[in-house]
Amino acid sequence: MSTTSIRDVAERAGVSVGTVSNVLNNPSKVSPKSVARVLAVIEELGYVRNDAARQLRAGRSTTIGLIVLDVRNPFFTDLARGAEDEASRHSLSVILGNSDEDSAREAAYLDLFEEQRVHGILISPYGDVGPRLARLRSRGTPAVLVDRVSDDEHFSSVSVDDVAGGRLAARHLLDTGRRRIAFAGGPFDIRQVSDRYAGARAVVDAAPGATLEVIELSALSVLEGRRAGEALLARPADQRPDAVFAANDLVAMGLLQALVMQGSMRVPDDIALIGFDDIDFASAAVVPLSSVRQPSQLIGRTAVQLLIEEAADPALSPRQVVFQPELVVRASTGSPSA
Amino acid sequence: MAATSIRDVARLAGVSVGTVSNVLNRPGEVSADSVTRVHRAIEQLGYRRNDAARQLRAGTSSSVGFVVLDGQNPFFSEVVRGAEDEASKNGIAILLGNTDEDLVRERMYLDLFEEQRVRGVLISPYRDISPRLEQLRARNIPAVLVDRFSGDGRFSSVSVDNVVGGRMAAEHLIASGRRRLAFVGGPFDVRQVSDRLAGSRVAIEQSPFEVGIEVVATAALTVDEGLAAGMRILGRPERDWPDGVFAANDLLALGLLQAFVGSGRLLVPQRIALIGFDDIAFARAAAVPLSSMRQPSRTIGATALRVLIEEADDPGLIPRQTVFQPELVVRESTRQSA
Repeated sequence: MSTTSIRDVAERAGVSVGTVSNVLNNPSKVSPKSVARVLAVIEELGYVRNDAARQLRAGRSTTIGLIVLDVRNPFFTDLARGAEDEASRHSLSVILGNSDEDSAREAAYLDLFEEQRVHGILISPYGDVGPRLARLRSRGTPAVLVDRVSDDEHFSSVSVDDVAGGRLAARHLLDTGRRRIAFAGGPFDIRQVSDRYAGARAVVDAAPGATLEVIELSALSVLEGRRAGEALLARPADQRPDAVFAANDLVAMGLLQALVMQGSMRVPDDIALIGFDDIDFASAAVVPLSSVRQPSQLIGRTAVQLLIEEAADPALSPRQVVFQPELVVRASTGSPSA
Repeated sequence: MAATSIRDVARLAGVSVGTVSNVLNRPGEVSADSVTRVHRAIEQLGYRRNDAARQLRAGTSSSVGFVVLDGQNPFFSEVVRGAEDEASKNGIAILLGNTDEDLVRERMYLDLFEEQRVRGVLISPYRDISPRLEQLRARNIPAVLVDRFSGDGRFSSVSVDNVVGGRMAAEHLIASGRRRLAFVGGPFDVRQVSDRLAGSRVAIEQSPFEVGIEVVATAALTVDEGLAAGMRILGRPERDWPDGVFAANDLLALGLLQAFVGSGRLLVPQRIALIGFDDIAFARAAAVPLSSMRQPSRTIGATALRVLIEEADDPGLIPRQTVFQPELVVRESTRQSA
């Protein structure tokens, strides 16, 4: 079945295609009688204006494309929620694409959003997308990085200071008497992961007698966290760390499941555990989870504001908005009772 | 800055617009020399084919729109993930819209996806929207209902049997010795909610025991609403508390658990048994590991995407209702009272 076209509408209404177009776009130029006739035919035929066609003329849609690293991470769905709320206030809508930490999927979404001529793009990048985003901008589609500072400051970004967050987490573990610390996270080409690690590394290296080992993971997921926990359980007790800094809360939740529920390790008595993001589920965990809080909804809202400003004025200089993370202490890093 | 057009490419390559179009779409019809020249011009100008324009001609796209009720619910994230895995195999990208249980946003995303002429729409609808989906289908955009049975059989759907799930949950509470049940959930125009309640009423009617059920209505299926409902229950005289609570989903159950654990007493499961629905990843790591009704969330997403592609390829297909059976997962939160 073919779609009803503007020509069908014109033919049935007995007017020119130009008149139909005017009814849709400049109704004041058309006699009320023609307007009424055309609208009646549109109703009758079920004609919908083709956004593709309209965008071709106007050059830009009312949609913001948001590409996140992992749609299953509540941090990103909270961020998306903040972006959606702010977009709604400006009569824009947000469409979400999940790169799933995969460069090919990331590139596919960038292509798709560009081809749809979105209003702008928010992206938490996985691969090196700088050159690609520069090309997009030169063709009129602005982009703002979320949860990630722009390395060369070529783009606006909204993030938290991940290095400071890593320092906060490690400092807290040292302050509560831990010395053999493990960092569980990966892949390290995700900037958030390497920054959080770098912050922890700096603090631990400056503390006499403290060590930091790396448990490298292939993804930031509950499943990978569980695997890390099982690997720790398999070690002799005297070769286990006395604290784990997980690169995000999903990893920490997986560790908690393995250590406490599959194994018989006591958190925090045998091993302290801290995550990153402070997702909703962290406080309701079997052992309430200490974490480094990011203002996720605020990041999303702010990023949409920057994007709208840049879409309106492409000459604006890129801005880096960096929020400070906040340490949230719960039972999982309490002092050992023994 | 205006985007590079096919005309710019033609001018630089010294060929006609038609030749550029042929190079892009039917390179076999163009001389090798022209192909080389056009490709060089495309490279030099950074020209990108405009998908909006291409879709106007071809009438199909390589994207599928997915409208979900609550993007922050891990259940939906898993369903989306299942659909994405299947979509990737077919070279299709999924565009996600989150209605947040809001009819206006639901309509907006459907309009948007229609205007973008997506290949098809997956939707977990808020209410019955068959008339709107019929319009989409008449315009060659098939739709498949996700997590929702198509009552009138007009559309294909992929869901679990929520009535059976509700019955199993209530039967489990009764079997573990509970007699004063509460169903916590809402809004009831979300079909999944009313079906789960209907199922639990069946269990009570068929029980040989004297069992009662009250309804504690919530405005949404969220952790916050669960927490508020828990506080309302705790605010009553203790003799009026239920001894078994069936929460319409796990987010509500986790909120209820936060209220019960926050009371400082060991209420779950000793005084109140608690069961949720969906079995999200966080249920097993909750403060008291949560019993739940498991849905095969990834399989639901993957199946829905497959059905959608088949219908897009063959609009004559008769709608199919795929119904999975939910599975009872028993954990600490419903352990039998001593």
